[in-house]
Amino acid sequence: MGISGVGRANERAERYLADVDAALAARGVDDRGEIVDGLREHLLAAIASATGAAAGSAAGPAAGSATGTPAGPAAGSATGSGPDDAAVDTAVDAAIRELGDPLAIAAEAAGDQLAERTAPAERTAPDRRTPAWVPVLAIVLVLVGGLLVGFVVPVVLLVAGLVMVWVSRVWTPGEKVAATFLVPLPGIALWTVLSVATAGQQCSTVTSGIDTQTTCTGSGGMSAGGVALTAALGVLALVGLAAAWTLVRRAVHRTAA
Amino acid sequence: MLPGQAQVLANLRRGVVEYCVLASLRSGERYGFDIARELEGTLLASAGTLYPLLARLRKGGLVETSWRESTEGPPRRYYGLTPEGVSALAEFEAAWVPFHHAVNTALSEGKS
Repeated sequence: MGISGVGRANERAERYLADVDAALAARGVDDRGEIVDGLREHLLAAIASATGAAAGSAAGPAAGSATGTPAGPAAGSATGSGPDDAAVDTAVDAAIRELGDPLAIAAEAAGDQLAERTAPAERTAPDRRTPAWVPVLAIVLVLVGGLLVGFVVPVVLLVAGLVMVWVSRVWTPGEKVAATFLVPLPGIALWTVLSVATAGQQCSTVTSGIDTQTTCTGSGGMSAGGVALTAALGVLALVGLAAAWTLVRRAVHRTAA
Repeated sequence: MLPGQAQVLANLRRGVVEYCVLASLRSGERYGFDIARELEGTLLASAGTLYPLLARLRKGGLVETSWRESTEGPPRRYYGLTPEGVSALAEFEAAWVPFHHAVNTALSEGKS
C-alpha cells in the first residue's frame, strides 16, 4: 500500500498520542500510560465506529505502546480487508479533533492531581488495580500445574491457577478460555509422550532374598506414527507456551496502564 | 474581567463531571468511547479530557476496569462502578438536588 492514506493516518494518530504523552510528562502526570492507552483505545473505537469495519484489528493497546511496534490505530485496515484509506483518514482526523488539544488533556490531568493532593481525605477507597505479579502467578501455576499434572498434589496448583485466571479482571473471557485450554498444553503433551514411551515397555520384577530388581525392555526405536505424534505434541506444547507468554505480556501491560 | 461562558462552564465542570461519569456507569459497564459519546459537549470540554477523569476515578477506587472482546477490533477496557463508586454517586445526588434547586431559585429571584 505504501505511505498513502492508512500510513499517514497512523502517523498522525501516533504523533497525536506522542504529543499528549509529552504534554502529560511536562506536567508531571503520574498516570500517563493509562491516559494515553485510553486515548489510543478511543481512537481505535472511533475509527471502527466511523468506518464500520475492523479497523485496528491488527493493533491493540499492547501493540502500539508496550511493544513499540509501528502498528498504529489505523493499521488494521492495512490487512486489505478493512475500510479504504480515505475513510480511515477522515475517521482519524475526526477522532483527533474530538479528543481535543493535548495541552487541555494534560491540564485536566494535572488539575486532577492537584485536587487529589489537596483533598486526600476524600479518597480513602483502596486502589483496586491488580498488581502485575498476580496474573503472572496465575499463568505460572496453570503452566507448572499442567507440567506436573501426573502427580496428585500439583493438580492443586493447576486448579488454583485456573481459579485465579477466571476471577481476574485483567483478561477478556476469550483470553481466559485460552488460558484454560492452551496454557496446560505443554504439560499434557509431556505426559502424553511419557505415557506413549512407557506403554511399549515390558517390565519384569525378580525377587531374590531382600533384593528386588525391576527390568524394563522396549522396542528401542520409534515408529513413524510415534514420530508424527511427538512432532504434533511438540507443536501443541509450543502453542501453549506462546499463549502463556502472550497472556502474561498482556496482563503486565494492562496492570501497568 | 468578566468570565466568558467557556470559563463559567469550566468552573462548573469541576467537581461535577466525575459524578456524571459515575452516573453513566449506573446501567452497567461501558468503554471509554461510549462514555465520551454520551458526555461530550456541555459536560466534557473535549472527549480526551474524559481519560484523566477515568484514571482518577479508578485510582480512587470508584470505578474498576475489565477487558472484553470487541467484534470491531482489539479487546476493549470496560469501566464499571465499584461499591464505593455507587456510594459516592448516592452522596453526590443527595447534595446535588438541593444545590440545583437553590441555584435555580437564586437565578429566578427578581425575574418575575
